Amino acid sequence: MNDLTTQVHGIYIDAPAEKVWAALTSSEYSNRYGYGGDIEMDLVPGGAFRHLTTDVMKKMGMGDVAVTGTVVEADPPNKLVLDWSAVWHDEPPSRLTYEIVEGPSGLTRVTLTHELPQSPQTAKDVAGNGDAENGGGGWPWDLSSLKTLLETGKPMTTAGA
Amino acid sequence: MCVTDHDLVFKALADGTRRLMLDALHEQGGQSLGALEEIVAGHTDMSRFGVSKHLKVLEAADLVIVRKQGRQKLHYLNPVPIRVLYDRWIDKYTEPQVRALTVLKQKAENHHE
Repeated sequence: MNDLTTQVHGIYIDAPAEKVWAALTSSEYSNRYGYGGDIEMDLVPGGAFRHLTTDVMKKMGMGDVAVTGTVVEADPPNKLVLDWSAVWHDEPPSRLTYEIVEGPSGLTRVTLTHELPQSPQTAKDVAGNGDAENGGGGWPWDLSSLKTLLETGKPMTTAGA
Repeated sequence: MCVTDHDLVFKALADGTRRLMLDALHEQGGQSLGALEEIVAGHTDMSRFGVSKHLKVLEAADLVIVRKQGRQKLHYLNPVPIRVLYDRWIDKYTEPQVRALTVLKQKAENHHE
């Protein structure tokens, strides 16, 4: 049995930290990488967070919202902490932390830590199973597509709404 | 270092001991150097220095991320560089075939409706 209760995902992106922050927190970018869908986020501690579903997800039978959550900490553009719940599983919220550090060369380091001690089904999904064409990409694929979008200006082939 | 350099990832993966260490971290995240040494010692005759050197290679390739917890350094597998490598490099060769199959699948499914 693989241990997925604490997942650490890191990536270097050739873009300013502010741009990475915008991509993580606004619908301006969120439809062009990962699973797509609008983001609603009140960037204050206790603020509400919703990641809305795309048309494709709705056709698969999902409602209007894919992920709900609460902002725990928002320190633009360096740190974002969320209590995060996947709507498709009935499990307790998990803790998602983004650390965003722009280096002197202009490369930005993004480290995502997802702590899911009590959400095994969610943990399995977000870890990714490699089958990105069928929605199984998880965080590694999500971050890979974020990198492609910010570095090339174009969505990755398999990603986006 | 720059992660767009796939050479580091390929080099890091081109060693049995390092793959063993990645497998161990895949099985159980957040392990100390000592714990990894024990796992490696179960398979090969390697010094503490050797294990630590292999960890450095894995860290340089960004396949392992170190987190400090108190006085301990814990090691986590970072699967993202392998995904990036797949999306950037391998996808280049498989994409036309995948596309063709997707189109074929859509046609077949539409035919049923």
